[in-house]
Amino acid sequence: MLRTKTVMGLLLIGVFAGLVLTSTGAAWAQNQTDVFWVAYFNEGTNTAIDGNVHIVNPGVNGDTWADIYVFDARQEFKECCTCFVSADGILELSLRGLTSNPWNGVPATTGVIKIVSDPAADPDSPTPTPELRSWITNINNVVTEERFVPTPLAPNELAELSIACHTLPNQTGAGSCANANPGFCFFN
Amino acid sequence: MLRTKNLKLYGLTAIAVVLVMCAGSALAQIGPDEYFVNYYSFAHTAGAPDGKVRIDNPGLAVTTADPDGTLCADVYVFDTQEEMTECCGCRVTADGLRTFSINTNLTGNPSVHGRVLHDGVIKLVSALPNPSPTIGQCDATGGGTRLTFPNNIVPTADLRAWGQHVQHTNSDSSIYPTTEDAFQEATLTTTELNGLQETCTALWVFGSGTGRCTCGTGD
Repeated sequence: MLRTKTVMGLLLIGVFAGLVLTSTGAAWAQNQTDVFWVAYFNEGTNTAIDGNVHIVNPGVNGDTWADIYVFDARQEFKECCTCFVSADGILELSLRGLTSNPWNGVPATTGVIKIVSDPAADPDSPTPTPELRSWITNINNVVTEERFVPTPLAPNELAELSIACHTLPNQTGAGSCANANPGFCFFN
Repeated sequence: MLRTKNLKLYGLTAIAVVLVMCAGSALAQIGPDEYFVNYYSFAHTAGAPDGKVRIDNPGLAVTTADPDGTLCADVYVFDTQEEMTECCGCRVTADGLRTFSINTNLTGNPSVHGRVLHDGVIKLVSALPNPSPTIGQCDATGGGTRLTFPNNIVPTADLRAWGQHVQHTNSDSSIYPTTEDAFQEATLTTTELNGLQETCTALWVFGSGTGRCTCGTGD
């Protein structure tokens, strides 16, 4: 009887430990960490000077796409595109290339850029998947640089980005930031 | 008696399942604070300054057994074609600061393809010393030879590193401003770690002396 209880106890411990491990994995997936980053941009007033964005793919999930969403300082969506970053690769984007083709024809010189890492080229319906690392240079009084800051990606935020990118850019191509690096960046 | 045996079997099965899950997790992802990435830009470019990479050992690894708290900075340099072009392991003792020239130490001796490196990625693994009789206290190949890949690097927190970036914001100008940022932490899997060591081994074994970066100054 004692042995039976011992075996049952071990069984329960095993099942409990398994559940804890499994639920940890599920919680990570729901939190959507390490898939979404933001940075501000400031192009300054000298149009001859351009900032840049560098995106590095550390390689954990193989080739990855950076879905990029550009907003102005009034929270208005301006442009979106998707850029290919191969494993161990680096991609350089022109900052003006990201901002000079807004869907409504009104460019912004300052605002926010959001990046979602995605295994497919699908900015209007991303499947967030880790991971990318990015930096941006801004034209302040001098050239400065900062990394994109990771932030949790909520389902509503993901939905808004998807809808904006799906609906606002028009058929003439306005609203696409693919000019930031033609050949590596595209618009659906 | 049969019931007891069945329960035993179920119990052992459950434990085995949990152990396999644990092992899977350990294999899939190594601990945090051990793997970092950055980029370099406009290396070997006329008129552009030479960038620097700096690595500090804050001292977490100091123990009575190793009062120097030695850690290895295993450095892997890639070009824009995702090819590893140089690698090396460099000792950094507690409170030490090692400084690399990007042009000279990290991109000045590219692997056999011999392309001049301008832009690319630098990966850094913070690890325990893994002495090699031929390479030294820090062996970025993980003990690799022509025939074997021991992959003996043991990632260990917590080196800190910064990389300078040469920028060219005005295509009409010869001015190259320099910016700087810390390396960003990334996820290190055993697949990635083994891949780094094995590719680095190939560079060291078959590169005829090329593909080996050097450790700059400091300790």
